[in-house]
Amino acid sequence: MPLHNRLKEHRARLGVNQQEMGALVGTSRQTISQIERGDYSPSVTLALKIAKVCNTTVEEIFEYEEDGTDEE
Amino acid sequence: MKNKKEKTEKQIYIKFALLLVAGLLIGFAAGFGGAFLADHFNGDISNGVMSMMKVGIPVLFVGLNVIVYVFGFATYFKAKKMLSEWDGIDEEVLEKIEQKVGIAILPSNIMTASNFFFFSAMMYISEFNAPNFKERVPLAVFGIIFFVITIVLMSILQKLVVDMIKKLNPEKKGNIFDTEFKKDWIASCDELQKKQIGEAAYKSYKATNTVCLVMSVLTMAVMLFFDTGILPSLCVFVIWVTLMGTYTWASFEFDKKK
Repeated sequence: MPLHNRLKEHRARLGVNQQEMGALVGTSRQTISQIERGDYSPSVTLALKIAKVCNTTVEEIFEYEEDGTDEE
Repeated sequence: MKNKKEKTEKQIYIKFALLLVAGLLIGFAAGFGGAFLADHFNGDISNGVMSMMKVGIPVLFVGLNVIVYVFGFATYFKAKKMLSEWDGIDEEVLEKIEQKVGIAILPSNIMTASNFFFFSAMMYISEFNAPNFKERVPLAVFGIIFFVITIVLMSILQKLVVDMIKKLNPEKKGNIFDTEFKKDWIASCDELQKKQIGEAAYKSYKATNTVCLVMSVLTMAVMLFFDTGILPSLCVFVIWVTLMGTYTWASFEFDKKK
């Protein structure tokens, strides 16, 4: 299940494009784009790398919300 | 998450039994029908198929390739134009360019596999149907030359597409004319791209598994009713065993590493 994220905001704060962001965290522009669109959830390793580059915590960038229709 | 009605074990077994019975009935009907056709129309069917092939194969071979490569190159050049006009800011444009480039190469990939069949078919109709040497040669020579042309076109289009992908994604590595290309390309893929390759490969595995099952039955029926020999069944067997064997072994190896 994709995570909600604020990667685009943090990237804008850093003043880098998707290509540059990808280069900083060791991934492709396509992956950054899909993460920002919410179409892909990064691995723990990638999420940690992104947080480190953005100089913040993983929780500040990524947010997990339970689906409201989940059975208890 | 939507509530899904869980199937009971009993429902699963009943459905499986019904599929088996349906398979038996279809097999019986197909077998009876095939034997009837073989007994009464064998020669007519063979002659009919050959007549259609003599006209259809060259037309399809040329026609489909023209369509595919005109489309492929036109789409590629459209994507190239979009890239040259890109303002360097709107990143959604890059997404559209990548999609266009993917669309440009897709039909030619399928056509490459098809061309091997068409080439074989061209040799077949030139060898067995032309009554004399003068009639055989032009068709065979045309088949060889056109096949080589399609290989060249495929190579050029793939090179152009791969070079554009590398321009859009500088971290990608590999030269399509290098024997190590696939290895280099995969190694330069990130986690998302590897995941996509894995999911696409699994879909391909499932589809090929089904096709092999169908072709196994079909080639056996054709062998029995039209005396085509064991070779078609053997070919399907080789493909199927390679598919199942590599998938099973790779799964075992991945599990072992954990």
